[in-house]
Amino acid sequence: MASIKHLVDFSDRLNPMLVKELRQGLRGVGFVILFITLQALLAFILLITAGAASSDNAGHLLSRTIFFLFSFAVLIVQPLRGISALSSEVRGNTIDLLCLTKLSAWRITFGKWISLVSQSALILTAVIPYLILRYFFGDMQIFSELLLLLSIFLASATLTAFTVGFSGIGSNIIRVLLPIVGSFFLFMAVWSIFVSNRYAYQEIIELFSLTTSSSLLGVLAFVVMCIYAGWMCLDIGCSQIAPVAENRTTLKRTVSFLMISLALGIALMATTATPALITLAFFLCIPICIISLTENPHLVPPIAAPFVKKGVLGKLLGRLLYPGWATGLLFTLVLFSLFQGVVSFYPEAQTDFSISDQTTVTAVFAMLFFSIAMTRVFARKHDNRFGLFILFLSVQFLTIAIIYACEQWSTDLELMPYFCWIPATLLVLNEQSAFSPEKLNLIAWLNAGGYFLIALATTLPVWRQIRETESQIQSNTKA
Amino acid sequence: MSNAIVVNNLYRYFGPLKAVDGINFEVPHGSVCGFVGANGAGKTTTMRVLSTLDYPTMGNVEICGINVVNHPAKVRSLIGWMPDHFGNYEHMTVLEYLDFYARALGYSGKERQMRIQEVMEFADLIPLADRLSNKLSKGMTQRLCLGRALIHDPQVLIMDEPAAGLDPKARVELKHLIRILAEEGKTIFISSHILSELGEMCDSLLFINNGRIVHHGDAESLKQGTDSVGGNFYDIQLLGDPQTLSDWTVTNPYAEFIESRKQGGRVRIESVEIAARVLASMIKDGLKVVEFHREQRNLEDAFIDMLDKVNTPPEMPLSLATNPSESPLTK
Repeated sequence: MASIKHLVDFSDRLNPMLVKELRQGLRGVGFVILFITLQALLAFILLITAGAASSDNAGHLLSRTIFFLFSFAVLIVQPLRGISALSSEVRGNTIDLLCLTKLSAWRITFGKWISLVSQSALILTAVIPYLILRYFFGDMQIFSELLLLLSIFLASATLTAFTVGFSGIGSNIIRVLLPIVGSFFLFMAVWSIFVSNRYAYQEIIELFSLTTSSSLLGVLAFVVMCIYAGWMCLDIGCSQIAPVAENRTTLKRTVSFLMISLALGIALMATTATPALITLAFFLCIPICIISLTENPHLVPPIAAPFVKKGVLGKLLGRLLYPGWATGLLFTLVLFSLFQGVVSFYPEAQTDFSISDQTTVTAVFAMLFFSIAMTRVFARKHDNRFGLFILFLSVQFLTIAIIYACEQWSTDLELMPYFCWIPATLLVLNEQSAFSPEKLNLIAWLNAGGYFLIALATTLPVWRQIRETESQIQSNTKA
Repeated sequence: MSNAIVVNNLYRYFGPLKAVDGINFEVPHGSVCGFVGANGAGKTTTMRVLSTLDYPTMGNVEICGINVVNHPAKVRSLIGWMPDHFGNYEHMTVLEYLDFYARALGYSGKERQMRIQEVMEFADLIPLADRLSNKLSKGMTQRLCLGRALIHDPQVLIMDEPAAGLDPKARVELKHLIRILAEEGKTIFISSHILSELGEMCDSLLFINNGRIVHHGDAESLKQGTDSVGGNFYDIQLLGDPQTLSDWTVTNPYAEFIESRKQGGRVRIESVEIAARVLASMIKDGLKVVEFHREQRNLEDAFIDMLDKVNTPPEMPLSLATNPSESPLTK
């Protein structure tokens, strides 16, 4: 059987999932059509531009066209190819077969993602020769343009991680509709940057020249956010397909906690850009809180055992790091306390951070506690926790929109203050003068505290189950 | 003989639904155990727990002495799992499909090639090596699935409805492969609706109904009705008026008339010892008995009797939903 010996097209060291996906993906119509169309368009545009090479703008026009086509291919088409990455395995009932191999949920999800990113990398390498040819048209800022190209590639990898990660979620609205709607807005943004607005492109090129410290910090923050968001998104997909005995939570929460603490720590020590770093930490914080608050609470002995072996301290840590929304609630409380500590008690930070910023932080956490409390009170037995959580978050914004529309319709009607028990309204009230800043901050605290306590009250059965699992491990160890 | 599968007080609830409700059984090493039950009886849930794909609400499950909840990775290296339905990948040949799973199971280099070659030869997949895996017939797909399940040479094979949807030829081929695996000493735990086939290849049968085990024994005893179900059925034919047989059974407490037949009828007698006495008293009472033989019940009858006996309204499996005489199983 000669054909078996031919199975050496990929090294043994590569992730098996990557090998499988590349074998399938490179034969698939999607990639082939995209690749050939892009090449044909770029070659065509290069020929046309060469004809008009005497024009002053020829080089810039060519650059913007290359970036537009590349962005369209890697920011829109490639990520959209990932929307059924995990769901196809779940629908085809092949996910069980994969879970029974030595592939962990992370390697499965990562393999799916890296194969799409590898294909985007092929597109990237195919575009570079055109940028080199563009050099002969003059007026090229080679460093900035190459850095922009790499940044678009990094953003593509993050967006692909988003679609691959969310492809494991059962809800079609989140899995399919969200990326499609997002792609539409992204297309509009790409169009306005590279096609309709010449100055926007020049501003971006200036930013990527890294001549000022703020542009350097901005690009660094962009890179950190892309890596963190990409990892977080892939982990969401991972958690959807992982067997119940695979602990995805502890590492995720620990890394997030360390990154947020690091960002806050640097913010406190830095002499400039403190609000920007606190905002960055805040953006790092939201995804992990949502993920933690929507996890499956079932705890099995293999996950709890390493914590139980470390005694009382281990068990206490377990209350924050065990998988499940109940421990996620405590973890979110810790992050909330961390932020409150930073913005309230450090005098240096206080100078940069006003009371209205404190209200915003408290209101956002109150929104999260509101959503988990509503999920627990009204849809306790529903399995799609993530979808419900997003629904209750969206309901808050929808409520604001309706109230705002009513207020606009009748000028003397001031409805928003009556709905201050819906945390999202506090974000709008923060910009208005219905309450004094101190009073609004107090309302935000009452919201956060109240909804936290409601959610906490529903965690009691989960703590009992956790205690039972821990005592089962202890009795097994003694036996 | 030690046990390859041990299930102790296994419960699996999905909210208020008791999919598996406290079952206990053991399957010895190297044996073939058939798992029978109506749709929704709890077969697939039990098999998924055994395969580490689901977790028990309560109870203890061990494969080759290893707990499925505490050591899922170790258990996975010991089992091969064939689900009832699964999809194949697009743009991937049979050979690449097996290569992917061999890589995923940790094989590399020459060893991987050897494993692939071995399972392709065993499952007769060599002629299909370059065919796309999603363009195969149902029978070929099942052979491919069996090949995949055997790549890591597991000790225990768990097969959920492997013969469902197969044509008779593919079914015979699959049965042949299972028989070879059984001869090689693998423990096989197999669920099916095709009871006659299970009876032929299984050392023991496990009947589950509403999440509870209602019978565990070998197929022969079940067919002869000497197991927990009870009763032997006799075909009795007479010379003269067949009505005399049913009249005679009214006065005889040891023989229960079940149905009349052309020259006599079908009678239920408690045991073989009593049957001899019944025959003697029939002759003594002047009945001209020309035929008196014990019937073997088929497994479908035994299955239905058992469901009646546990006093729950039976939900028929698809293959039994029609008149049994018209069922492909009895043709």
